[in-house]
Amino acid sequence: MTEKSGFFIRWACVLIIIAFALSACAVRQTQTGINGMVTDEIVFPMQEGASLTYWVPLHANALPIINSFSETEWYKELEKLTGVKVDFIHPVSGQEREQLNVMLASRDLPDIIENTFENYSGGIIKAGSDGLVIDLKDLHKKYAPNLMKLYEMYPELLLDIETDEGAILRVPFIRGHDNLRTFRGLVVRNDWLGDLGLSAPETIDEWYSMLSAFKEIKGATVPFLTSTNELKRDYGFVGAFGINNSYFAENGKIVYGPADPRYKDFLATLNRWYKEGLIYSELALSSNTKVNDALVVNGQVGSMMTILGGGVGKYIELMKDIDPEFDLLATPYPTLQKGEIPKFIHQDPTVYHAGSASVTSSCKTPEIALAWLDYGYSKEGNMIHNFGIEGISYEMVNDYPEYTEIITNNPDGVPMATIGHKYCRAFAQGPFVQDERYLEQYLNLPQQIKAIEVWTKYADEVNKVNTKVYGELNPQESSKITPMQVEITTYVDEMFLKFVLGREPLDKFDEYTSRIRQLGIDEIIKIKQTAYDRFISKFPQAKELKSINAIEFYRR
Amino acid sequence: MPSVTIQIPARKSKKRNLWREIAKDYKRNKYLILMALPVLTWYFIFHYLPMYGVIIAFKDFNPMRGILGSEWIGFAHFKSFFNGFYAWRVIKNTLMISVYQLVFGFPMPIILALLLNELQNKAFKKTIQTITYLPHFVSLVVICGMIVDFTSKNGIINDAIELLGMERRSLLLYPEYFRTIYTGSGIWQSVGWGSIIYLAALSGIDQELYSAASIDGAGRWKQFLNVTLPGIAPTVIVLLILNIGRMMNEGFEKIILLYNATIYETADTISSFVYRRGLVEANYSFSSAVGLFNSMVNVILIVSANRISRMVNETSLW
Repeated sequence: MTEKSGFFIRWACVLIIIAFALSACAVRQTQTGINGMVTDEIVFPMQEGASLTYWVPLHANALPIINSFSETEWYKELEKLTGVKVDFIHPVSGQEREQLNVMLASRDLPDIIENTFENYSGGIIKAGSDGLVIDLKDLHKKYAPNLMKLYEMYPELLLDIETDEGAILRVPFIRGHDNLRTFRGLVVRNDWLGDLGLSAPETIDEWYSMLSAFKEIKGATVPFLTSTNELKRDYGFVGAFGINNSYFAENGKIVYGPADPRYKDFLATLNRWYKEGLIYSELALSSNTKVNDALVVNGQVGSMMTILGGGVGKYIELMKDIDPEFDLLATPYPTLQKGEIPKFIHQDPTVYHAGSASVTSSCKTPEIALAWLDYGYSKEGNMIHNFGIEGISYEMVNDYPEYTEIITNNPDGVPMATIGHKYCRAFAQGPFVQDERYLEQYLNLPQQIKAIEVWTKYADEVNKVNTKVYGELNPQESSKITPMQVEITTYVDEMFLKFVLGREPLDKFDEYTSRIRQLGIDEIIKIKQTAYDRFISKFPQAKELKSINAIEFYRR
Repeated sequence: MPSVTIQIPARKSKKRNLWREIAKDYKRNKYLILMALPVLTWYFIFHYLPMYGVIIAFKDFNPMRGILGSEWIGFAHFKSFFNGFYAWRVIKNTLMISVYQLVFGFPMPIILALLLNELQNKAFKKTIQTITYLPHFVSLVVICGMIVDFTSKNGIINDAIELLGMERRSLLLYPEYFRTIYTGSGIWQSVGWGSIIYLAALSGIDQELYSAASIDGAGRWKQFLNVTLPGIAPTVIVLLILNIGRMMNEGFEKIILLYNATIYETADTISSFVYRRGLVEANYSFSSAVGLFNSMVNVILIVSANRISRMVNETSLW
């Protein structure tokens, strides 16, 4: 190194440091507020033309045929009818969480974001108080006539939409019918049950003897196919023990399932099943659909927890030619005693936050954004979202919107689960009221119809007991909880597998619960209880829920 | 042993006017500066400007208020990290994986390069090189998918284990195997690629030294000890220092593609922890604090490695 370049480097360093210091001083001053232009009523189609940007994940099934919502028929029709041009921003499939967080941190926000905000620390309330998403309540009166009418007819919907302070931060996705809310449950090989002369299992003990028979007599290597994620859902086997895998309300008291004494029995059962080879030995590895499919197709699987379309429907279709005997039977959510009514079943909330849209503070024309979203709740908007365009994707036959062959039996051979996304939105979530008649035509196998019947049998009772933890936390509460919750979740995840796989003896359960207490579970429960009580004293009707079939709104 | 010394001309101690010095330097090196300008701008914009963002480690970062507008909270995030239940575990795991990588992973490319260097058959040598480079070009996601497959209960590793009369088990479910799997697959991935630089160093050794050594009666082993090894020593040391500087920086990608909750005990490292807290749970301030701590450790490591190396054998990065 010569003296010359030494000087040069020194000189460059000086420059860099000066510039660095300057840049740090330069305070960013452009902070655009919300310029809510006060316009009068918006009439669609808008003559002057308007545009919005909209962040929304694309459903995995839609990826083979569309790259963006702007290519879909339902969107094109909406654009024609409203005169609003929407630019969609779709995150890369599988990275939605990260991409959303990065986008939020960069403050480069679109006008509308379709997300739960549950991963934004502090949730949507914090996003509201941080000024990320805006309160739409005052705009509703003028710009959301359809939503207002809907909330008038079903005021209970607002329990899940309005915040404690009375702000409305989202335009909701509403599952319009109870049948749309339950689509995941346990299924078993019906043909094997027949061969073994067994009836559908209802209790944990019956499950045990059935799984053993599958293993011993049928030679199944995976009598029950599952994964950690499946076992950690809030229903299924865990529900049989009267608890779930997270928080729930029991007689008005908040309980944390994994720290409850009953959780030990759940772990003991799984541990026994695992030891005896009744449940999938690789359950701890991240589950891989291809591997699972191969196991089912090879006849190694006797039962599993799965969904109606991508599970029951898929496997029956796949096995049609391979094994004509193959048949799946949905079984009720298990219990400990015969005849007991389960407290936990899979039941998506009527107001499903994942498909809810929020308007951000970057939106220059929140009233247009809201009015455009509200259009989806009008009668025409609802039909477009659910069925697409009359004469193309559906025909009205005796007052019933029947999908045309384009959807049900596509000439290009595209399966319904995929082509549906091109013509309507009902095949995925979104800000509209989902119509159960979409499902009736989509899931039309007798096994699927039977499954809905079996799984929803106790829906009313479950609604009545209502274990839902109400009350969203305010920012102080949630920032207090988050660090503790993160450690507890990590610890519970780790110990759950250790107990199930038998790495830790179950005698250590007490040690485990006291460690959870040490990590602050009592504090968390106290905070959640306060929020719950706050909510219940305000809306006592929430304690006992009656089911809402909001789609009736359009059928009056 | 001949040592390699880098001559650094002694600086003149005369103090001159800095500005005159700069002006003179500019006049003399106009075109050099011009050529370096794009690179400097690049570094400035993409490597130095964003650095002011680390201040969010001391702030309660709120995306809407921005980096400068968020509230200062001092060392709260550092405290919450070090008081946390998992701080020492992730630090320990990061260190252990790094040590494994250094002890087992670092010498492998050197050994491969030395072995290849001794080969006489050109075709054989080229084949070996191609085969060992190959994994480097396969995407990490695919590599990890293969590792998961290989180590699964029905994978080829278990086939071998069964042949040896032992029981089949999913290796990625046992915390005690994770470091071995991680390091072993790392060697498989990078040994070929890593050996290139040593092969380059080997080809730079003056052939006359070998002739001279053989005239002096040195056999192949003696030649290896007295010519080859000293010849590549500076390269080895520079790379060693660089590796030590990267020690705590195990990328999170491979970890998160391989780990699961059963083996957090050995597999959860600082980077995967930061990933979970920062990107997945959107706790930017906290993860910046942890990341900053990590970088501090790296700086200390690289500076001390450099100093030790300078003391021991007069070769160093700076």
